[in-house]
Order: sequence, then structure tokens, then C-alpha cells
Amino acid sequence: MSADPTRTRVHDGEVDASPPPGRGEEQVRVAGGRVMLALSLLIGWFLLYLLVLSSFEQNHAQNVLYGELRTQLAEGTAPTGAPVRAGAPVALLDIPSLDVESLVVVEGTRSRQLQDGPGHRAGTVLPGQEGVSVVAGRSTSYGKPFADLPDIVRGARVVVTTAQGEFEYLVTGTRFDGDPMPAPPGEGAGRLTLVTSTGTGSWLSRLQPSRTVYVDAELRSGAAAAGPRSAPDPEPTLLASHVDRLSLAELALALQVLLGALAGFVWAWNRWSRKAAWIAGAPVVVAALWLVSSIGARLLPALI
Amino acid sequence: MSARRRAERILFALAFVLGGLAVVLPGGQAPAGAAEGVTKSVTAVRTFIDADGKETEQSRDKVKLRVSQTTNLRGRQEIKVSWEGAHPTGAVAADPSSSDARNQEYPFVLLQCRGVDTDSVAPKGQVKLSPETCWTQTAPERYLAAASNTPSWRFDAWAQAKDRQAVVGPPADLPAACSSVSRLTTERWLPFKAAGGTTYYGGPDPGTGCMPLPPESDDAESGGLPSNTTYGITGKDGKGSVDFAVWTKAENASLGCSAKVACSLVAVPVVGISCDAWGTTLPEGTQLTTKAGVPLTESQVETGDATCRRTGSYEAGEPAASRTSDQAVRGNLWWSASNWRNRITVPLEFAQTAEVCPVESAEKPLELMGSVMLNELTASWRPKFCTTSSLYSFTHVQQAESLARSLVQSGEIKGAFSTAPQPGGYQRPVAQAPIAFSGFAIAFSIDDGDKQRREELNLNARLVAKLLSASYPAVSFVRNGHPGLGDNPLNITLDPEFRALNPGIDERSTLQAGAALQIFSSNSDLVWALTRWLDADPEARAWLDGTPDPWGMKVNPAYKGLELPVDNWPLLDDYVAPQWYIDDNACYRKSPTPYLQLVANPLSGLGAIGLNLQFASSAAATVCRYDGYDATTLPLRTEGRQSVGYRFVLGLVSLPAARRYNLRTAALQSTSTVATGQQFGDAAGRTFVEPDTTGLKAAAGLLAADDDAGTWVLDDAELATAKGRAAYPGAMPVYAVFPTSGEEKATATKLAKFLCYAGGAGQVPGQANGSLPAGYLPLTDDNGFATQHAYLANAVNAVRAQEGAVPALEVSGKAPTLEKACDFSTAAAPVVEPAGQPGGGSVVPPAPVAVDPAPVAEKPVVVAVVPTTEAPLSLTSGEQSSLGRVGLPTLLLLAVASAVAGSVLRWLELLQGLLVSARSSVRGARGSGGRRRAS
Repeated sequence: MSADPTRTRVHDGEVDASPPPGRGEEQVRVAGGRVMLALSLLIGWFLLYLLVLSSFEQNHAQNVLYGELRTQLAEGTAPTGAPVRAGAPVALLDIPSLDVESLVVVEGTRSRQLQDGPGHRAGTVLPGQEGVSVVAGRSTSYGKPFADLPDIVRGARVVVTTAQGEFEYLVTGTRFDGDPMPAPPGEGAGRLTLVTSTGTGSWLSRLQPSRTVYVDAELRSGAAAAGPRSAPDPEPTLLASHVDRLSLAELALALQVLLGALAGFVWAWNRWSRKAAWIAGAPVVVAALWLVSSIGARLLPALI
Repeated sequence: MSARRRAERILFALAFVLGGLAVVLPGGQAPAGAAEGVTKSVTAVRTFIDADGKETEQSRDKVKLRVSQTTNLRGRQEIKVSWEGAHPTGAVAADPSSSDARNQEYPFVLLQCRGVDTDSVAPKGQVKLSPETCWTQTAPERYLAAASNTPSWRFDAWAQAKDRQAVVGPPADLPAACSSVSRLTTERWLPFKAAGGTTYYGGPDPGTGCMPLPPESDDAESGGLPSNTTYGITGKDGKGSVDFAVWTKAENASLGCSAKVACSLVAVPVVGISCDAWGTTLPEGTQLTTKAGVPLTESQVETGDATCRRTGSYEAGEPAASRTSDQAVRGNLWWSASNWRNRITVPLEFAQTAEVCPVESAEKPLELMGSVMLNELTASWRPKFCTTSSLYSFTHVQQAESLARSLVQSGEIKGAFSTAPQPGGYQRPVAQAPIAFSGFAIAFSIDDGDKQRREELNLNARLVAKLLSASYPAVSFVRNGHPGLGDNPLNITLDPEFRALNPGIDERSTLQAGAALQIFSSNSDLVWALTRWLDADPEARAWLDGTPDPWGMKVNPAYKGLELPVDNWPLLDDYVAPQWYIDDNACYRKSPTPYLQLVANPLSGLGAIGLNLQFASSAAATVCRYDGYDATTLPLRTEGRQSVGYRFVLGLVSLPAARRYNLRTAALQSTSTVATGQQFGDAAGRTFVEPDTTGLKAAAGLLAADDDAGTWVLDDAELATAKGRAAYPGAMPVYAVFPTSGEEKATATKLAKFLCYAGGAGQVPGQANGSLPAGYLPLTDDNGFATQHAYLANAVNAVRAQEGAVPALEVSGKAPTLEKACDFSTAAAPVVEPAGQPGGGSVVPPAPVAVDPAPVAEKPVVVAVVPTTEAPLSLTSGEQSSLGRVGLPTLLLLAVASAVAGSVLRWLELLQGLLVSARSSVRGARGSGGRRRAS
């Protein structure tokens, strides 16, 4: 650094063989650039997964669940009350004004269950039964089944099909935090409360599901008798992250798979042919990444 | 080395700043636009293109527009629009919203248009905004024709080829009527697409059926509204401002704006046509032709080019004279692509109206009646009530308070809104709960001597008494012939008293609108409060009793000693015009009525007065016109709209209506220290109070409990004290008169809920539905309504219990709270009644004088009334998630930021190289000049 470039000096001591001072910094910079790019790619993938790819996942889950529920409805074995296994299909939901068609409602409102479709809240009666039934659904990811729910108009039809028949509800209003709750339904009346998250204000609001919105719909007539209810979910919040041990364990395993896939890819890249590494390795890596994302997304709030 | 390090640091810092912004921005954006209005700007450029394609810039204006309110708008509401940086206007017209103003040079055109301004397809259920969805009122604004082949609009460089033809936009089938109308060489049709789907073409002569205009195009004379299209005048400093009345579909169904149908305010700064006479911007092979298809000759093009390049034949600010203005910069070309592309579109959001309330429902809406003072309030509360599930639907029948009071008394309606006390008290136990505090206002639309709109006016009670009592003769034959008005000035502008208090207004001897105050013919507490003020004012009372004013003006003998207050101003003068006038005036001859009654011409309702004041229409019905009317009937017509610069109308309105329609309101005199009988030349010694929050708040301090009335009344005697001096004399409290016996449980609960709302959420000022509109003083403890608040809680209990209790005006000891009284999950608490009258029965008979007394008469004696309870009102406990709010946008920004930072770090050399080469190429290119248009 102290060397004056305008004058040549003769070294009389040992020659300095270390790399020129700019070089190391250069490498750090390039490496830093790569890390930043990799980070950007990773975040980009996660966003892509959440906003686009997860919808395919729900679509697939819905197809499977629809088949299952259809069979159960035909056989009369669809659930009419507790106990219902978490994640099992319980009802079919139609909201014509929002273009929601034959959506399978599953049991439970954890993030994991809402990845498959709207979830029936444990502890409330099943849709169509006497009392209040709560169904929650995502607004931003995984097919965003309830994305348009905040725009629903009073009087819109909501049709639910369960083992007990088809039930038609009419929307009576939309509630946010602090709005008065409607009085509990009287004898023989049924109410369906649909829950999702929504943003406020700005044009970015679609990407900012920051508060819950409740849509109440009253059963037109003919509530079915309430079946036994399951115990309420010990963690009732829908817009908070739940970190449970099972998900963490699964995530750890999935990350191991991803690491393995990446290691294999790198090995093939260096030792085998690069083209072959692309063809054979890339799908494996993407699949592993998908798995990690899917499990990682379970740590996010359920309504997002 | 250090430079590179710095670059890295800057990049990292940028990434952090951007990330930080993402966290902060979304939270702060939402409420900003709501209250503050909207500011937008545009750079408007006019260019000329020569035959060889060379382009020269003629002008460049950076225009900034500000709109005061764009959300929660209501019909006919006026919003303030101001702009700066626009080209100064020439050939200035007197009235910028008249059709003639379209011929101004460089006006700043403001239009209300339906639709969403977008480059792509409009969202579902909306239309795309275009000049064809913008409202203009008259045919010449929708149809332009020229006798030449080369009007400027054909040379518009920005217009598409099809819009530069000789005839543009004619209807597919011209009606037969058009064949009789002469058609010019070039035509430009600008059809209006109405909300219903009909297209109105306008055209050369809509009167003969070629072709019709929308029905709302009728002028104010035939009941329509004047145009709101404004050819705004920009001053020499580039600034201008105007009040723009926005219309909902109630005012203009063809335009059809509502809470559901998107509309915008579109501002088009007219900068003139960007000329391209030689068609260099047209597609290859296209030529400008005549109507017959013959290409324009070179000389035609050159003449047209010269016309198109004109920049105005008037100086900036010069009033319009007989010579024509330059076509290329005229306001009527606002739709031309050169002007339209510079438009600033401000979306308008209209408040939901009571239209959302179901017309038919199982439950009949609660019918409340009375006070026109509450029109604005119930317009805001009704949509809120019927869309809130814990509330209900109600209607407000705007009828005379006196009628409403007697109907409540007889049990025919469930509740009344009233200000004045019921004479002799109610023959039925009622609670009279204060729900609003506002006042009457004397609104005016007056132009000063310098033709500018006047913003301030001082009126004392005597001047108002003079206007009301037909003491200004208005015309000379009345003054000469009338037995009692011989010495009086013809109208208020000639009255020395008015001139002393309001210097700067021209004297006008032919102003019939200045001889009377516009007032309505039906009974109203608004008139009651006004006449109460006249009665309490020593000068006005003495004058009405016959003492002449210091200049010798005397009261019309017909009104001498008139008993006040009244809730309906009587028309007492019976002087009929002399025979020569009857012979002269064919309309008057049909029905010779007392002339000054025609000048006063009381209107049917508050709405009509508001409309007249907003658009400066005189109500004096003394005009005889033969046009268009059957000669056998020949009715007398009102004078109608006054021309801008010469406006003078005065009218009695409610304060909230004045605020909504942006009417100027007069300051009223609270007290005077000037010796009676002494002439004066200025306002010294007199206190005039504006009807603003301060004036109303001071007036609230004068409310005194009146046990006979059962309410608080304004103590007029206090106006003369130091405390009362600042009080607005027109202040009026409004009471909800609700029965406390004989109503069913369900009705009683509804009435109680109304009071609960009125005492809580309904007193929060705001523009949104459900809040308190402008013009009302919130009934809060801070504004001095603590006693009234306690009464309200007491009243809620009384109304809920329906046991015939009459709440006490003053609650001694522990006052009940509204929160507790409005908790419908518990039974109503006992009512605090006036001391010494346990049960309230000794003063007021508990049984109502009802038409059907059988079921209700026994009610108060029933010992155990089932307490009216409801399920506890619990509130939704929604969840909030800050992760949800910032998570995705932050991730998105982070991804972008790290991608940018990463690529810069990774390929820094490459970028530097590129930058250096780009810089050198720019340097090389400069000088060889010539920029081509991108389009």
C-alpha cells in the first residue's frame, strides 16, 4: 500500500510472493455476489412455490380428497360428527358468486390441513348442523380458495354438501376485528362462518394477508341435528405460526434429502458428465426442494 | 479500490433501505389518501411537425392538480379543485361552467366521466373511461363542424388516422330529421355513451331530432341541473381553482355514477393541438382527404397548418370579446388526442347511499319523522344502520316538526326529530333526547363589485326581518303605489344598513332577488329558530313593532307587531300591482296576485333552496315568457339562474346542507353595543359570529334546561353577555322524541339502539357513512354536552323500560352511563326522574292518547315487566399478523435487492465497461442531434 507507483524501487530483501492485495478482495466480492444471487434464487423459488406451485399441490390433494369424499357420500360413510381424523374430507363447499366449486373441506384448521383445502374447525359442529360451524381457508397460497371472500356480498349463496344432505346458506355479513358478533343462532338454526385472512388498503394488499375476516352465512332452512363435537384445537390462532415437533422433524428429514440430492448432483457434475448431471440430477434436486418448501410452509400461519 | 468498496457499501445500504421501506410503506399508505385529498401532476407538451418530419416543441407545461376530497362523496357535493403550472387562459368567459366557456383559449377543462381510466380492458362491471363517457351538457360540446376542410383537429399529430378523416364518428343511421339540417364540410361527432347503454349523438340540431341529447341536458329552467363541466380559468401565474359539483346517478342517471359504478374527475389541461399537417405520423400511404375523398391540396394543407399552429388571439387573462378565439387552443377540443393524452384522472369514490337498504324486507323499517336539519345526518346513518346486522333499517320522513310531534303524541309514529318544544307539553310520556347540534344558516351567493365571488357576509336580525317582512318594495311601481313602503330602499343592496355592514357590493336597483330571503313554504323548526332570533334581538323586535331604522326604513304595515316565533312565515302583504302593469303583463293578468308575494315566492322544500343557492337561481316568480308555453296558461316563471359576476341570492338553509353543497354562509349578529337610532357606517360595536365549530361550541354553552319544554333551549338573553357574544345565534339542538310507554318491546329496543348510536359512534365526525357529517357539532363532553349525555343514558333506560317514565333534565348524584344503559344483555336500569314527581305520573298521564288505547293503556301499571334483554353484544376478536403484512412484500424486495446486488458484485467489471462505452457513445451521438418520436 505504501508503494509509490510512480517510482521503481529495488527490493533488497526477500521478494514478497503473496498475491497482490486487490486479488483476495476481488475473490471475496465475486463470492459475495454469488452468495447474493443464490440467496435471491432461493427466495425467488420460495415465493414461486408459495404463490404459484403450491396451488398445484392443493389441486392434486383436492382431486384425491374429492374422490374419497364422493365414495364416502355414496356409501353413506362420510362423517356426521366426531371423531374425524384430522385431514379427512368432511364436506363439499360451493360458493357460486366467488366461483368456488366443489371444494372439499377437510377436518382441522392447522397449516398442514389447510394445505389440502379449507378446513373445518375442530370443536364446532359440522356444516349443515344446528349451531355455528366454522370453516377456514387460505387467501394467498395453496390455491387461495378464499382469496375473494372479503368481497362477498350479502345474500350470496353458500352451498354445503355433507353426509346429511345439501344445505344452502345465505351470507349475512362480513366481520373484522372489533365488529359486533351476531347473536348465537337460535333453536334449530344453523350458521356457517367462513374465515380467511386479508390485507388492507394498498395495491399490495393481496400479498399482505394481515388480519382475519369472518363471513357469516345463515342456513336457509332445515338444519340437521348436531352430531358429537370434537375437542377444540388447543392452539386456536389461525394467523400465528405454530412450530410443532412433527413438522420440524419432517423438515429436518426433508433437508437431509435435499442435501443428499445436492451432494449427488455436485458429484455427478464433477465426476460424471455435466449433461447427464443436469438430466438426472436437476429433477431430483427440484423435487427435494419442493418437499422442503411444502413442509417448511407448514410453519407459516395457516390462513396465509 | 476504495471506490469499489464504496460502491459495495452503497449497494448494501440501498438493499437495507429498500427492505426497510417495504416494512414501512404498506402500513402507511392506506389512510393517507382518505382525508388529505389527492395531488397529481402531468407534463403537457405541444409540438409542431414540419413537412420533412422535423419536430419543434412549442410549449411545455408542468401541471399539478389538487382535489380536496375523492372518497365518500355524495350527490351534488362540491369538491375544491385547484391547479398550477397550466397555460394561462385567454378569451376568458364570465362563467367557466357555461357552454360558451368552451371557446376560451387554453382553459383547464374539468369533466366528470364514467369508467376506469386504463390502457387495457376495464375491470368487470365497469367501462373504460373515454371522452365518450364524459359528461357535457350542450350539443355544441358534442358536435363540431367546420366549413373548411382543414380544421385543426384533423391535423392532430397524436390522433389515429381514422380520427383525422373529414367526418368522424357519425351515427350509422342518420335520422330523417338530419337531412333537413345543413351539414358542413367537416364534422366531428362525439357521442355520449349513457350508463344505460344508450348512445346520445347530439348533433347539429337536437331540437329538431338531429340528434337527441341525454335527458339531463335540459337546463335549470326546466328542472334540470346546470352543467358541471368546467372550462376552468387559469390565471397569469398558471394557477386556478374551482368548486366542482360531483353528480351521482340521482342527479344524472345518464352519467350514472354511484358507489358501484366507477367514475372519475378528469382534468384536461388544454395546451393546443400538436400539429402534423403533412401526416408524417400517419401510417405509410394514408392521406388526408376531403369529405368526397379527394386528397387535400398542398395549399389547403399549408393554410391548415398555419391555423393549427396558432397560439391564441387573446392575451392571457383577456376577457372574451367579439373576435373569435383560435381554434387550435380552444377548450372545445378537450377530447382531441393532443389534449386528452395530458389528462389527469382522479377516481371518485361515492359513498354508499340508503339505496343499499332493502326496499322490501320482512321487517318494516322504523319510521321516524321530522327535522330537515337531520337530512345529512340520516343520509349518513341510514346506510350504516341497514348494513349493520346488530342495527336495523329506518327511514327519515322529512316532514314538519310540528306534525311529527303531534303524530308521536297520538301514537301514530314511533319517533320524531324536533327542535321546538311541544306547546303545552306532550300528552304522553316521552323522552326528548338530544342527538344533534347544528343550526340554521343564511346562505348566499353574491358577487362583489369586482365580479369575484364573495366569501363573507354579515347580517343582523333587523336586515333579515326586513327581507322577510316584504319591506323592500323590489320595483318602483310597488314603492310608488304601496301605502306603507314609500320611503324604503328598493332592495337590500340599496339599504344603508346592509352597505355599512358589507362594504364592496354594488348598488343595484333592478335586483328582485335582493328584496326577499328564499325560505320554504312548509312548517319547519328552522323558521321557528330563525324567528325566535328575530324576536329576541332588540333592534329587530323594535323595528318590527314600528320603530323605523336609523335611516327611516319602516316595516311593511302588514307585518307590524307580528307575533314571533312562528314555524311558518306568513305571506301577509296584499298589494296587487297597478292596473297598467296588469294590462302590460300577460302572465300576471292571468292571476293578479300580491306582487311582493311573487317576489318572496317561498319554495317547497329545503332541497329547492339549496339548489337555488348552489347555482345562484333567483326565486322571484315575476317573469313572463312566451317561449314554449301555451298562451292560454302563461304561468309566471322564476327569474332563474343569474349570470356569474352579477349573482345575488340569499336563502335560509340548514348548516349541514350548506356544508355539503359548499354554500357560503353569513355571519349573524349576536349582539350590538351601538346606540339604538344612531346611524352607523361600519360594523364597529357589533359582533358577528360565523356558523363554525367555535360559534356552535359557544352556543352550546347557552343551552339552559327548560322544565316546561322538557328540553334545553338556547337562552337568547345570554347572547348579549360576554360569554354569549361568541355564540352563533342560529344554533339549534335536535331532539329525538321517543315515547316511553305503550311501545312494543321490539320497537322500544330499536328506539333505544338509535339513541345509543346517536350518543356513541354517531358523534364521531367524518365523511364515511355512519359518522357525523360536517356542519354538526359532536355532542361530546368536551363540547359541553356532559348533562345531555347523562340525559341520553337516562332516556335509553326509559325508552327500553316503556314504563311511562320521563327522564329528568338534571341528574343529581351518580349519573347513569350510556355504556351501561346500552348493554342490551341486562335489563334496563331504573330511570332518574324529576325530583318531587315520583313516577312522573303526576305531570304526564302515563297512558298515551292513542288511537287504539286498549292494549297500551294498562301497560304502565303492570308490576313485573319482563326485562328487555338480548344476547350480550360481544365483539369479534380478529387476529392480526404482522408477519402476514410484511412477510411476502419483504421477501419479494429482498429477492430483487439481493439479485441486483449480487449481479452488480459479480459482474462489476462488465458493468463498468458497459458504462464507459455507453458514456462515450452518448458523447459521440450528441451534436448529430434530431430526436424522433417513439410512437
